[in-house]
Amino acid sequence: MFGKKKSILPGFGISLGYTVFYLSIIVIIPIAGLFIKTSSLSFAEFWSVITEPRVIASYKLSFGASFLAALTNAVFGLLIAWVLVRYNFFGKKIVDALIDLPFALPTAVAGITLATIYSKNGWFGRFLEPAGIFIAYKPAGIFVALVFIGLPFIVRSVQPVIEELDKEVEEAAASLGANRLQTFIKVIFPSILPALISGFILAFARGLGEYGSVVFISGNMPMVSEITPLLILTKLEQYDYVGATALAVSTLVISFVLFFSINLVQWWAANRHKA
Amino acid sequence: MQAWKEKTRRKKMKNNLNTSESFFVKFILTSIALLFILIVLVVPMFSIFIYAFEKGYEVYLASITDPMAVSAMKLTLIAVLFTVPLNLIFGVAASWAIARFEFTGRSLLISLIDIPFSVSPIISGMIYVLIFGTQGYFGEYLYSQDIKVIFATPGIVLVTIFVTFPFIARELIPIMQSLGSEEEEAAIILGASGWQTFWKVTLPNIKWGILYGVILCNARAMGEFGAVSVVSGHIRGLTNTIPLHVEILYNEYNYVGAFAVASILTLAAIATLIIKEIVNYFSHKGEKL
Amino acid sequence: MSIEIQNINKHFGKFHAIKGLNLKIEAGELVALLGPSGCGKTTLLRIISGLEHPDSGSILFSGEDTVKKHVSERKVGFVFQHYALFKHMTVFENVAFGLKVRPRSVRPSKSEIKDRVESLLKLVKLELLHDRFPSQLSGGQRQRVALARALAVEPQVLLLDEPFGALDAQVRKELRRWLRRLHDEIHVTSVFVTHDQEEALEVADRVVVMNQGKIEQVGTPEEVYTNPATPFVYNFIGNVNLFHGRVEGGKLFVGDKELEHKGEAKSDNNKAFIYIRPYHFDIHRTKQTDTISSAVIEHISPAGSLVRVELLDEFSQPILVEIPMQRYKELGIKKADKVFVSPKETRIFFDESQDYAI
Repeated sequence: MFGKKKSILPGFGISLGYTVFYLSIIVIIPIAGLFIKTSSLSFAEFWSVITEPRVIASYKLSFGASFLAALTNAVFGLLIAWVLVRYNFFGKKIVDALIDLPFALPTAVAGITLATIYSKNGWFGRFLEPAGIFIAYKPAGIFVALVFIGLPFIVRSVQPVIEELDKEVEEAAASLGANRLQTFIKVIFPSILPALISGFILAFARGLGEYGSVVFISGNMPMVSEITPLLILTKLEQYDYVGATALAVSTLVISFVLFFSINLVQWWAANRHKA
Repeated sequence: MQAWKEKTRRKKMKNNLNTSESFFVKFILTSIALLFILIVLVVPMFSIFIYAFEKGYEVYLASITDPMAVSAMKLTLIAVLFTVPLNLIFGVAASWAIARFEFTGRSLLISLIDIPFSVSPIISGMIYVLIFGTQGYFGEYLYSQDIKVIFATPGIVLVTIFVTFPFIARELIPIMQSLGSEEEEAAIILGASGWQTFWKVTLPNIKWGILYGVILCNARAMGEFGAVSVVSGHIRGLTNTIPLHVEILYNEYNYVGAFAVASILTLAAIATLIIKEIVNYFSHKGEKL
Repeated sequence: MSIEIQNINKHFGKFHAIKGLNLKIEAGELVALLGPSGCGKTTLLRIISGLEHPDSGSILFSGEDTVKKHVSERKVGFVFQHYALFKHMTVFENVAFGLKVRPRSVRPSKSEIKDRVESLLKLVKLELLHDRFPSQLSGGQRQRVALARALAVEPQVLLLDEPFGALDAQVRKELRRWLRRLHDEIHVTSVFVTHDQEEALEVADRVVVMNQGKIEQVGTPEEVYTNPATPFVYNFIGNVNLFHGRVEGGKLFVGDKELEHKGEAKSDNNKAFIYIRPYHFDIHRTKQTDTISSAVIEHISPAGSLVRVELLDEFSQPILVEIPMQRYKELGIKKADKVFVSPKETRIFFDESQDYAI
């Protein structure tokens, strides 16, 4: 059926068969269902949905907040990864394990925790609000939540690359007279850049679709602080399947494009220095 | 003072080649990194427990033994009991097929496995509504057979499977790829059957990967919120998982209750992190060959 | 059990790895597949074992076609280059594995297995390490475990893929001799792959020299060394000096010196490749009739009963000459001396397609 290089290892048929069967039921049929539903829309219907003011406002919000959060994480995540790999300090192992917390913690828990901390009486809120910085129930809250969610993506993307860096190259640069900052900018950073970009895109894509950790802190006011996933849920609850589908598909397409671009980045990184 | 100056001078001479940042720079960078982590990760984590116990131990206990909370835990448990074994079998099958063979469509398969990562949880839930909901493609058939999927337990289980199935596979595939197939080839040449090879040779080598994948899958299955939100119907006592119960408590301003229940999930998350460290430690010990 | 390889072809994508190869290996022989990287020797070994499938051709074990037989049915023992030991099993369990996985009906009893494994471990001198794990063993020890494991199932053919490639030079030498002695004791038909000519020549009954998917020559180590059949074999085995000549007026010239050669005169302007082993040269202080070139001595180093003399000929090409210690003392040569070299025996290939010998 499929072209396969012959191998003496057994179990190809059964393992591939079960894999494809499982994927069909769990993934392919539901996703196909989504696209079939979409095709029942006319393009005009589709367009009118995704250009509603409320929808556009949600796109702006989701995109904007995700982008800023991913950017912030790119900077601090790189710093954290560097510190974790290159320096030693008391409790480093604990800190390293802690990085995965947003990954392992349920989104709803993260959501209520952040909402509570940054609200008026919360530990951070009670200092920030008098200073005029309002985070809870405002778009800024979404930013904070997405920073929490996205941090591990950047750190775990960049960490292995830093670990694999060839110390000898840095020594060569130093012996040629470069100071530490120059060495970092000209020699080290370019090697890390592809992983940093991949991590950024991952965090960004994740932020676009994030629901649980954001929905508590964000205020959810249409046109102001309503993220796209919430809007999809709202339309679903109102049985506006057409609207929900259109939104979902457009979001999916963007996600797929983003993930595809990660592959492109990795391909570029592997090939950019080849003759 | 003199002694310190001398020590620094000697250290500088030893560090003649500028291959490392100065102590001052290291200190600043480390401090900033730790401060960031403190604000973003540590404070939230501790606050969960502090809020949960704000009204004392008894209220905490009452919150987590409340019948609604208990039924939420039962539902979460059911979801996990179905999800983890099924995803485990899938993960093993998929990593065997992908890491040990070459075939057309292999890259496509790998991309398909990554789909839940690129899809918003709301959309994940939504696609199941489109298929199994009353207005969905199978809706009429299911209605006529009086089978409830959406707004009932099966829907919750399905959606949880969708969101968590990549974890075990993605954990095992790189492990099996880096192990290489020579040990298995050796076993086959020595006369072992396929199953014997798998049980005696492959499994022992991937056992840590399986453990970590299962733990991770478990943590995510327990904690899934967005997707389950869509298909659940939020019927208290019937179709609420622990995360949904947390949401309900929070929206009722029962903060202590919400955080109490949330603390259970947090403990599970922390256990996940600890187990990951343990697994890393043991798997690196085995890599010494 | 004899092995007959008939007309095997193998492609990897567009790369033609093995080209119509034929070979017969007698029962009980120890044969070396020798050649540079990429010549197809490992691929051939894996095809014999059943780990790879040829595109066409057949492998016969004692006359029986193996193509239908699954690799586990071929009764072949395989020793991998990187040992492929089961890292979570002890040495004992590794060696016992092949016996333990047999179907109930043919499986030996526990005590039988124990006896077999212990005697094999004695054979490879590892009986004291039976409860160690592979990570606790040295490279040489691991290789011996791999060998014992392969032998445990009493294979009719033993195949070894660069068995000593990953080891230190000293360990390699020891294991080499040990393998030879083992084979003398056990007499299993064995084929091993190596790129190390010294190893092949020292260990094997017969050597198969391969290049680019084809067999260049098959013969005993002596045959292959003293009578290379092709320029490739000449170059690959042992040291050799290469001179370029041309044919003019039916005579062979190297530079401006004529070289005697028997046989039919070749057509003019044919290129000639003249191979001369270092120990087939003589050095003289004065020009002789059979001198092939003048030369300047660059370096002299004694090597046992021979003396290695490195020179640059009149075209500034390096020549390696080995003369007996006696002759060296007679000549009394030293560095920077100008001398003349004459060949005592040469091998001439015209246009790389035919050959003459004086």
